[in-house]
Amino acid sequence: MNRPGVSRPGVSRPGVSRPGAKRDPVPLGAAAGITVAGGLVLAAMNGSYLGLTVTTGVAYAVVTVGMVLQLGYSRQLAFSQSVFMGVGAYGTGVLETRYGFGSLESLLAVIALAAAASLLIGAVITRAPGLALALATLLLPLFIYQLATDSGWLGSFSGINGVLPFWSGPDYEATLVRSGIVSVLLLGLAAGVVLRVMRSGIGLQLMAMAEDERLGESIGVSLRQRRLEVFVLGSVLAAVGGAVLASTQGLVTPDVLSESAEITLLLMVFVAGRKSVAGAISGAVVIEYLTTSTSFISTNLGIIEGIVLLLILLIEPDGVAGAVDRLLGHRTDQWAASLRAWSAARLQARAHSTPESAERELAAPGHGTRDVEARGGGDGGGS
Amino acid sequence: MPSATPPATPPATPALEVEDVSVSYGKFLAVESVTLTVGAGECVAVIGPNGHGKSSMVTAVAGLVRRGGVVRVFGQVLPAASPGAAVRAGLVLVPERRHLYPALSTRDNIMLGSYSRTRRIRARQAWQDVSWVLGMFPELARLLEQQAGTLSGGQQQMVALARAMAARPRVLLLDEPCLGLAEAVARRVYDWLGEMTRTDMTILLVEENPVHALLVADRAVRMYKGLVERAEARPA
Amino acid sequence: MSEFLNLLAAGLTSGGIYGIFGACLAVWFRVCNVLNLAVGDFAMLGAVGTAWLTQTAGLPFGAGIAVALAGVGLVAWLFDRVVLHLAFDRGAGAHGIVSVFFYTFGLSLLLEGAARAMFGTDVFGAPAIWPGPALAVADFHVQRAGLLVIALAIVSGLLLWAYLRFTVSGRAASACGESVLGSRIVGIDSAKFRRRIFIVTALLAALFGIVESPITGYTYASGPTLSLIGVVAAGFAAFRQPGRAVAAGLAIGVAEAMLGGYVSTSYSDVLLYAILFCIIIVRPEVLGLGPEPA
Repeated sequence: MNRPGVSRPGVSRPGVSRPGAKRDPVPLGAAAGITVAGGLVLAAMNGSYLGLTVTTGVAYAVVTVGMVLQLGYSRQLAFSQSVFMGVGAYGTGVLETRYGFGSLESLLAVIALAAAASLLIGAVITRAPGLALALATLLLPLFIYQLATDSGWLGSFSGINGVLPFWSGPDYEATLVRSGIVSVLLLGLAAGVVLRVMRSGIGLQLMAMAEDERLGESIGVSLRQRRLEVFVLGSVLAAVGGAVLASTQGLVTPDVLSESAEITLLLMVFVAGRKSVAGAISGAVVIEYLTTSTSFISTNLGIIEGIVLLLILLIEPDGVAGAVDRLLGHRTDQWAASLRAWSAARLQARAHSTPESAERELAAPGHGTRDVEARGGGDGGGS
Repeated sequence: MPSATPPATPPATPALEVEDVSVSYGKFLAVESVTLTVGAGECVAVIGPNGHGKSSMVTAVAGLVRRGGVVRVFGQVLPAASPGAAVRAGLVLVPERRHLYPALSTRDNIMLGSYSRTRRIRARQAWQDVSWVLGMFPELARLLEQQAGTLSGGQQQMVALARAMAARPRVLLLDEPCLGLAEAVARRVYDWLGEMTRTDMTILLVEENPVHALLVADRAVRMYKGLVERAEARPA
Repeated sequence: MSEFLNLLAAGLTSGGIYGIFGACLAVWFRVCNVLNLAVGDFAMLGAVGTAWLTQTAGLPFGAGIAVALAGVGLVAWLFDRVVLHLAFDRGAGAHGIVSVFFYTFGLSLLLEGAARAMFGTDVFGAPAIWPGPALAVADFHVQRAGLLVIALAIVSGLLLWAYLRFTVSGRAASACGESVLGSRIVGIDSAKFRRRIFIVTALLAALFGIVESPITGYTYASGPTLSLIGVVAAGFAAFRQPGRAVAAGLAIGVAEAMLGGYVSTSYSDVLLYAILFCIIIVRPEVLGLGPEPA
């Protein structure tokens, strides 16, 4: 940990992977931490109704963690998470109740299904500007929901019963706790994967792409590939979340794919903080608790959702997590600064890749570098 | 008989008076204090390294960002944050990097330059009022229907200049007019500027390259770290 | 043949609504690069508000329409003055692709929730502006309200198109969306354009709701689906061209009617959305969207 020239623990050197360099401990640490902490919490709740609510929140958290990557980091607007959650939930339900799959098998199958479907959709649509993806995925819940409710095979309005828990126990409470632990483990894995991506060179490319697509392209970011990867990962995580939901509740209903489910997910991500994994997790759990527990909130849901969303957008676009981050320190500023330095360095490296460009740089003294200096130095006031 | 003292000729009202103008972006002070005067028909260049407030200063003078201090055009005080009022008073800015309307045609880009001053409702009539600018930029005549975003950098700069002239300015502010342009195009711009200096147009020109600036300027003012330096360079 | 014509008439009627919503979305997006996802909710407020005012509160018809429209205008003005002003003029808040959808999305949630609280879950239909039975030519039947909708859609579509194309003000409005700094330099007040066009499109949507609701009936939840189809129609016009948006809307409406009549009444919506989805997925170029602005 104290080897000279190695990045400080917790901060990965952007974009550089050197043999022998220390691996970034945060993703694995977060995964382990979430699993252990979550497991302890659920064990303490011992199968109570609160425990059920928290585990349901965990299911949504798996989805929102993926949305942090999609919406928060890459600014990819897709409204398809609830549909893929439905794919996960219904897939699990159908495979287990009609084809006798086990929990693990159905989970793997559902992941494969979601990956295939999102690849198919994404392969073409990511060629087009982001608004096309947004538009297409806006339509998705509309007809998928009706298909699910009309289809007898999918259980129509009542859905599918008899989904297996992840890990059975001697009684209902123990089953809930054990399955909850598996769910939390899956959440930890999801968080670990997303954090790993966010903190790697790919993560910086995603931020560059989100910030300014043309800049990103000019420093070699493969826009189409990144967009596709993000879309597929987000969709797969949503499906895993759906599988967790189905296993927790033991049943699948069409509500999981409705527009209001998508709205709830979006709110969770915005309120809690769309750039923060920790925010997404806590937001999902808290909001799930709030929406199901108090009757005042459920009856006036629309008005409250609208006002909360507007307040968040105006006052604290990075959500509660963003506010906390600002209060605690300037970590995101550091990442943003390292992104700027990294992309500026890449720009300079590219600018000097041909003799003519190097000459041009000499002829117009210092124009490029001074801009970088000005940005670095004079940026105290801007955001 | 005592000789009557000849009546003092009142000094001509300066075209542009900038008094103690300051610009801050949040906590960052871009321009600390600028005071300068440009006489009618003069061409003054503002030179100095990048990042020291030249652009911020002219942008503020044109009313696009909040500023402290006072700006007067031919004696008339300009409200602090109203670009429309500035244009109506005859002060027009050609901004750094042009900022044209990429999806609109060249014709519309130029016509909209007169937006603050036209009373026309129909776009065609408004265009006919300003089509005289094509006399200054004949190469634009065949580009009128083309979308401005598809033009080359040099052509876009011509359109930006034409748009500014459509407002019939008396004081023209130019912010780095040759930024990113090839040498041949820069020469074309400076030829036009040279012609302008021979009219009664008042010009304030921000230029990083002092050699270019002193080709057309009567005098130069240097900005460093948000302040105007006392020494003024005179062209040889 | 008569069945085809009747379906066509019904399709053009709903298509007229989709189209005009698409045109409203396209015009406003052109001005400020934001999609008005609440356009359907404004229509709902117009329809439900007028119905409630005339039927429950007992106002005379003309007054009911006037009050409902005034209310919609007020809501639109307030939203711009408070939320959009803070977001775009003061630079607070979220930006980029998020702002394209989510501010008006929040408004839509709010309006829907408020309508539910105020009007309950009933179905409302405003009184007909042109009362009477359906007009008949041989076997061809068309509802009077439907004819009004189609006529109104064509007229307002033409007006919007002409405004953008031929007037100085319309060119200035387009310039607002093209370059913020570029429009300010020539003295264009983009905040004013944004506000005025938002209010005008809200009022237009409300008017259409009032005219069309005798046929279909509106509930507090009718808004979002209408907004959504409007967004799709606008999407097929690259979110810029009102004329094309009206044409796209009409096509969608006719397709919906034909699918309902000839294929299956219960699955017509599913098929329609699935077809639109596939078109966008397989051929996104149809939308005509250019490269995104930096």
